[in-house]
Amino acid sequence: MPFITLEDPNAKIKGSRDPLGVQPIWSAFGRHVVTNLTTQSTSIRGFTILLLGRYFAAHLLDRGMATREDVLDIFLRMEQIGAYVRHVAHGVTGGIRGIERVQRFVDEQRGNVVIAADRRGMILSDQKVYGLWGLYSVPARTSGLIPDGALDVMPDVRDFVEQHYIRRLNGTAGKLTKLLTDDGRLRTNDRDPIFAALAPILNPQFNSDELKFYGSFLRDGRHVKGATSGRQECFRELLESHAKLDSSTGRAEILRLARRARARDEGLSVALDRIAHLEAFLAPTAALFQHILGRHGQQVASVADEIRSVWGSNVPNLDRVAFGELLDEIESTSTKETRSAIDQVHASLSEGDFEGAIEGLVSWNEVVTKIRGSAPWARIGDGRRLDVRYRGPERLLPGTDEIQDLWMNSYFIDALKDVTHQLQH
Amino acid sequence: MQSAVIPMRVLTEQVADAIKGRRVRSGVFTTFSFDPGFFELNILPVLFDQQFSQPDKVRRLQLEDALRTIDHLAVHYDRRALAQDGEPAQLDYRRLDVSRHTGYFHPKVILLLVDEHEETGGTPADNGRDAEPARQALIIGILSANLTRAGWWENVECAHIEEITDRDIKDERHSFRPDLLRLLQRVRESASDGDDQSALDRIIAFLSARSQDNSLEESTSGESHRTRIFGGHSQTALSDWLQQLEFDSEALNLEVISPYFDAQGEGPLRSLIEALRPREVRVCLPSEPDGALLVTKATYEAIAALANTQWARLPGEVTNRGRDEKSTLLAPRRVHAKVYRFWKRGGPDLLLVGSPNLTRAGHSPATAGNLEAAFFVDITNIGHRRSWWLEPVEQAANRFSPAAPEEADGLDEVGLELSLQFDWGAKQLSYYLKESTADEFRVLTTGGQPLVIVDGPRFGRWTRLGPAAWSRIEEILLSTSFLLIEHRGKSWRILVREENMGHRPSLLTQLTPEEILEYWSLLTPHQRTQFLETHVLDQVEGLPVARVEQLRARNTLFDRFAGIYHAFACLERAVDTAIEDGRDNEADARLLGAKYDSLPNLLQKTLDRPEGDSILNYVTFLCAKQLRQELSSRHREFFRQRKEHVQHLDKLLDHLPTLRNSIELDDAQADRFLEWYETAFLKPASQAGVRR
Repeated sequence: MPFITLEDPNAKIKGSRDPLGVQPIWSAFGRHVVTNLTTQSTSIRGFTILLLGRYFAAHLLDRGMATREDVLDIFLRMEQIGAYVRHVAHGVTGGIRGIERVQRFVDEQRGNVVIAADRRGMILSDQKVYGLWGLYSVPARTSGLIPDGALDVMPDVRDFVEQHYIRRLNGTAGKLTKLLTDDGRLRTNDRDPIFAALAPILNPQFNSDELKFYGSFLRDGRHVKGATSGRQECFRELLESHAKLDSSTGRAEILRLARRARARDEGLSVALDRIAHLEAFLAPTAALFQHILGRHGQQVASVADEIRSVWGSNVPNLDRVAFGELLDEIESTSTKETRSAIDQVHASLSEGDFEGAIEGLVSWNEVVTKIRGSAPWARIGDGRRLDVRYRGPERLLPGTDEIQDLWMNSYFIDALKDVTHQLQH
Repeated sequence: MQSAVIPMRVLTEQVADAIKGRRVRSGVFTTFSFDPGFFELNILPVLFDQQFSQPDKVRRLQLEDALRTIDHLAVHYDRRALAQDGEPAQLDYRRLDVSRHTGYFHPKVILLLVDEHEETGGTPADNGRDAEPARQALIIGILSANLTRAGWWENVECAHIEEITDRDIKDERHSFRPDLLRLLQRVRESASDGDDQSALDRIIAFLSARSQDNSLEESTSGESHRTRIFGGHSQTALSDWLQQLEFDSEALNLEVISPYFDAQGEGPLRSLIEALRPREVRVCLPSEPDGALLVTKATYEAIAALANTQWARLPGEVTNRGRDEKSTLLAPRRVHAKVYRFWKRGGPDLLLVGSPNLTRAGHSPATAGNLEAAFFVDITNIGHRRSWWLEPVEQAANRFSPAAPEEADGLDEVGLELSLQFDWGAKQLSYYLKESTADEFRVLTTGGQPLVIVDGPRFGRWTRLGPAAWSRIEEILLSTSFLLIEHRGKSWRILVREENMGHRPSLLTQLTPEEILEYWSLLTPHQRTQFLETHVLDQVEGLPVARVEQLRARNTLFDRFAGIYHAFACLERAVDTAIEDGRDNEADARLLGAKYDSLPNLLQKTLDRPEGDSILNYVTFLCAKQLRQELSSRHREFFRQRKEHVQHLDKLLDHLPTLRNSIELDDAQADRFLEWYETAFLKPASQAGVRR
């Protein structure tokens, strides 16, 4: 059947094209305050299913009921079962990887869905990469929940899984392990013993032991190797008391949190201040670069005038001295040339030299694309006109009011908010 | 819900569903614009039924391995349309830059020749071996999407996928088979003489020999209007071609979705209306997210002035980025689909989907204008609600585009029909110039540093450049496959074709000899993925994929004798299988190449490590020598064709006596013992009852 295409779910996971290579930079700064979560791993029940999948794989292998080659298949089936239970028993849609197929299969297969490690059962076209296995394993490993390799969970985590999940399967463990080792079907109602047993386990509400467990491992990052003890927990407490957990981070909020942190953890306060200084630069810079990509053939001077007419004499919130202290860390996540290009753009924007900023941005993009082995997206050509090679859709510059609080990168703070929010309810 | 009216799907999922886990043997992708980096990391994985890691570096290594299982794979793209945000190619497949004198090479086609599963009559794969050719099927996708991130992930595009099965499995006739053969012939002709088009040839051979031959009258496909393909027809423009299909179009509505229009006037819409006489016409109005129109005033007014014709838009539900509330706050997706829909309530619903824009070049016969491809499909019986797809535009238009936007906007202006090719095996750089030019052309890095000046270039054949040219380019190609060409004041990027990629140094170089041996012995793709993830040490959003300290501290079997014997046995089996299956490239890469798991790489690393155990080093070389002897006796032709690389392997093996001499044994008889041992080791086993 002919079709019109939907946006690919992978587009969000892979993020934007990042022509200025800022993702590794803000990631490094974000890791000082959120040590273990990623932008895509924010569903606590996703972690529950990851633990169950790995636990059962190890369990079946130990008992000779599966081989090492079966491990991934067992995991994928557990992910499918978990997704159906969460969606049908609890009406969950957000946070389930593959929700569109889950909804479709429940509908098309009239509540008797295929669980299979091949294409018949896959809830994502590439469930192995963009499902829980691909997206949750790294943060779970960093959080201290799972060891290296494909199997099992950490010893203390195994005790928790057995006590709180395996015991509650009420004698259906045998049926579940059979479905995990052989392809089969799951009826998505309480008459199916597996569905009925897993539904309370995968309830969006957490019991007190779960709150303690996930709070320690995921929310507060207490088991992350090499992390500053108690910092993430302190940050989370500040978020709970002084931030809105159900909305995205903004500049005013970060500055407020940095102030509040000063009395409790100076290091946290400094890290948040550094994020604020970095984002005060990265957010308008990204908007500016997008804008010049829509200005092919125009003179640099006239584009600079246009920017000045919208933003005024300079970009707000830029502090040359404070930014200078960030440059070593910026270089450690990029290159010397990138550092130099970034510093030039920062200086130009601070002084309101928008012509210099445009030139600097073009150089910065050239440095980044050279490292990638590709071509710059824009050049300054004859007559100092912009020669734009990659022309994205035209983007209007954000206005003066907007730019004061412009915030584009998450620094994983939204992920921490999300996890904290789930454990509050 | 508009989704009940307009069928909507995720493109990669549809292609994966069409493959159904079957092994792809040959593949051809055609496109106008091409982003090699995106194609490799995000489209190629769809062709394989295996797990791919999230970090790009690991994924590329996995793909390097996986691609060895495909016999032929090629991308044909318009050399004028390398995506400006594109990243370079690094993997082994043919990249054929093509061009047309009359317009653009514009078809977006996917052709995948797959092995049928056993249960459907295909030949069973026996532990990866398949001595007999399997029964096959051909998947044919025609789309509007270029091989770019925007095309496959972001834009609103259109597509249709069909399949032709081997006639021995299914006696099914396909009304579009002659159209497809004609189109593929045109694609073939777009390349240069001497281009290796094995992938396309394999597909044409399947269509010619293994699919059901039939005339249109014999079609048994069951739909009221037969599925056809537009493209490749010598003398017929799109409107004439549609008229020749003889469907009763007069009572039908026409909807047109096209991102591009001619600069002046209504373009081919008038001839389309005159040929088909639709009752009412709606044309999708392209615009920027801020509302600026992407048509000229002249075109806007000319189309608006046509009888029973109005401008319209796709509903937000189709163009939004996602389905939640937040998505309405983001800029809508760009509409790049090319759809011509003929329909009426209670009547037929016929779609033409593919690459032709509503421009003269897009609607021309194949001998003029662009080369295009589109499926004509009857969707009357798919069970969807019959209604308008497009909603009329109510407000008056005022912000027009000063010039007609074109698909080629922003692309380099290419001054020569020139291809560059680097052969990693022979270390040779060659060029192919389609037509003569009196002037020199210069080859530069993308940063503008001059590399080679070609004075008085030859044309019409591949011409080799001297060693001075290739030595620097070899180094550059390790980081980018893009170079810059300058000719008569114009400069443009070129994607270098790379041959014999098995000899291109691997993306992963830091494996120890033990790790290479361990890698040889891993049985499943999943095990190999895990191995690579723990050795590449990449990061996901600043978090390490594996823990380094555990990796470095471990002991494995592969620093002991049993592990060495086992690993060499695995390698021997793998090379045997590859040669017997006709996958010579894979055998070549493993046995003679420069990949992280290639035998010469293992030997060189063993030699380069002075602190290694002298006995283990010696046994490793003995195993390698034995392997070389065994394989060369069984696969003489394979070895004969690769003399130069076999010589390189033999040179490495010549270090065997040195390694033997480096063993310090106390016994006075040590030398005699080692002499006896080596002879016995290398002597072919002739145990009674044991045969290969």
